[in-house]
Amino acid sequence: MIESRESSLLEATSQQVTIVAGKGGVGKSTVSVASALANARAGRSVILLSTDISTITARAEREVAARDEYAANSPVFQLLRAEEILIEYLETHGLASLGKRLISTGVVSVIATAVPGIRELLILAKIKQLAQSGDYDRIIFDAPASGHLMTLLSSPTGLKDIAKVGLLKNQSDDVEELLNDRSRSGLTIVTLPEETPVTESIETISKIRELKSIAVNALVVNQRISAPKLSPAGHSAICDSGDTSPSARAYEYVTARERVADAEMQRLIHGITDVEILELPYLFQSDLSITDLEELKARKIIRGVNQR
Amino acid sequence: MSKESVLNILQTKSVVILTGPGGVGKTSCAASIAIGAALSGINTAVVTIDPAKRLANALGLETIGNDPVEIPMGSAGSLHAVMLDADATFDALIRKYAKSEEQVEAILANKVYQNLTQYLSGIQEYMAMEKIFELHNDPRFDLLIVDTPPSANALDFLDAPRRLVSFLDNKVFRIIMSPSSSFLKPISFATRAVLKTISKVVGAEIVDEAVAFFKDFEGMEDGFRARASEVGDLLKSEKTTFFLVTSPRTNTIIDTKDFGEKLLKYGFSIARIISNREVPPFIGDDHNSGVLDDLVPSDLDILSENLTKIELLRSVEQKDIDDMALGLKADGLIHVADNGNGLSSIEDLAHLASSIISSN
Repeated sequence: MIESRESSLLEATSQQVTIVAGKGGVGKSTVSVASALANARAGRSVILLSTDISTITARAEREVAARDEYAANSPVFQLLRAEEILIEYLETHGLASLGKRLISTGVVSVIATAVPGIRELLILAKIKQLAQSGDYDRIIFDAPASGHLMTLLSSPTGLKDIAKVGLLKNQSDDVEELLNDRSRSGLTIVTLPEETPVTESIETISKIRELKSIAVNALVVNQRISAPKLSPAGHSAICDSGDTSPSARAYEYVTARERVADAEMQRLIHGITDVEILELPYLFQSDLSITDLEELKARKIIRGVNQR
Repeated sequence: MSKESVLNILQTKSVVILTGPGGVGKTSCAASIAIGAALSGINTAVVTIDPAKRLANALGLETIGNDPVEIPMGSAGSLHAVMLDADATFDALIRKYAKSEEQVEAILANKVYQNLTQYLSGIQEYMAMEKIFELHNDPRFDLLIVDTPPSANALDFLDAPRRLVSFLDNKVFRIIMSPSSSFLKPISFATRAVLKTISKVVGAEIVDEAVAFFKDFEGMEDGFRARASEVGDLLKSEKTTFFLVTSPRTNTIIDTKDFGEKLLKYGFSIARIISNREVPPFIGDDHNSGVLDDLVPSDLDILSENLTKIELLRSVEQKDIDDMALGLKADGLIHVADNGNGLSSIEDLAHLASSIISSN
């Protein structure tokens, strides 16, 4: 039995800047959108950033626009594209005519390959700029899948080694300062209570620690499945009988999935010792509406109890 | 709906590429189809791109490398596993097309080149195709099962050969290093201005490195272009086919549909859609042991509510999957039920294989 108490996704976005990361298919966008909505409802001004338009983000943007309760304080949805940030950046530095030409001639593509992390740095620099503007209480970045996360987070340090002078170096310094400041930024990792995602999130967290850059704020376990609670007598009667009626098999199926999820939760709790773990319930739906996201009840794992 | 059985496909094709969005179980499906093919007497190699550790674990191996390792199955056909090492594959290509040993060394030492395989999008996929091309000509294998990395964009994978060629053909850098640039002075002047500005932003060292890369690469583009077109031909040939892997979650299905449409647009055919991790059916297997009669009413309510919930979920999933498969005109749709316990052993994979191969 893993003990937990009621919590909120607000706990996963306690800093001004939160980078939401995790492997593909675990629900990064779901968690990002749900966190953005929770913050907006708590009266905060929120901007949700992403590098591609996920289905869920597009849908949230559409549905939020149609909702009266977000009329006064709607989360802002914004797409970040390195090329566009570069053009904007060159424009503000009096080099407007160059930007488009750099991109159309493929020079940016060559330079971005020569300098790994330059796209990522441009994105972080934009986030830094948004943070400094003071326009938003919360900046949530739905980051690209894990593989690229390390490139993203190591880009300021990596680029400092390569670019010793120039505008790039100044940007790297500023971004690094933001990431290192635990009072301003944090990382939230999303995972599923399944073998591969759990193993990868444990590895990811240990790699992030080695970078000595951004702090891991929270780990959000999405789709934690719970079987319905039968009486103990009923439970053993069903499980021992070999009954193959549809309702007995459906119960055993959900119980089996719960057992796998529990074991994976234990592995997380023991594998990641000093990060808060939040869990979101599995809703037995293939599709989540905005209302479902608003009503998602986060629970927080109680550490001491589960580690003995 | 199916034109030919899955077994028939495995027996007649040389390359089966599994593609689809992240988190749907492509690696497990690739491993199990490869096991199934080997058990059916086909000499098979399973090729994975990333991350190899998962496939290795699934196959009970410590690690797999760039050279095929045999997995002892005692099956009628042999089974090998290969992990793609994009860097090593690219290095081998450089050696193949370089005019001299000096050229090889200069390129391998260049920073732009060293970062190319990791940071030019689609290159990992392209190198995988290159590796497949090589394995395709290896007499030990009749069939290659390819597990592709999850990419947000199916185009990354299909467009990779063209992208590499256009990267290598970069005009700005070609002009700057061209010996005849005096004839093109006006352009060259503008180009130099561009590079000078970039130097201000990223530092001159990086620009120099980029220029050096294109200089070193000179003369190899034709070889690469020809190779890219050969690899492209294999992908488009009758010998290659695609299995689109998905799972019945609404967002995943939308991504899969997008993915599938792009495959079709590029002229590829989708031999099968594998709908993985479906909620299994709980009907038509009635054996009431009598235990339900003894349960307290509240337990019975819970059980029936649970069944209703699960059946509803299943029916939504099935409808979404069927609609998608219809839209993509796939030759067949394979349903793979989630057993609730995950896949943890080679036996689980062999079991999954038999359900995929025995499907129509």
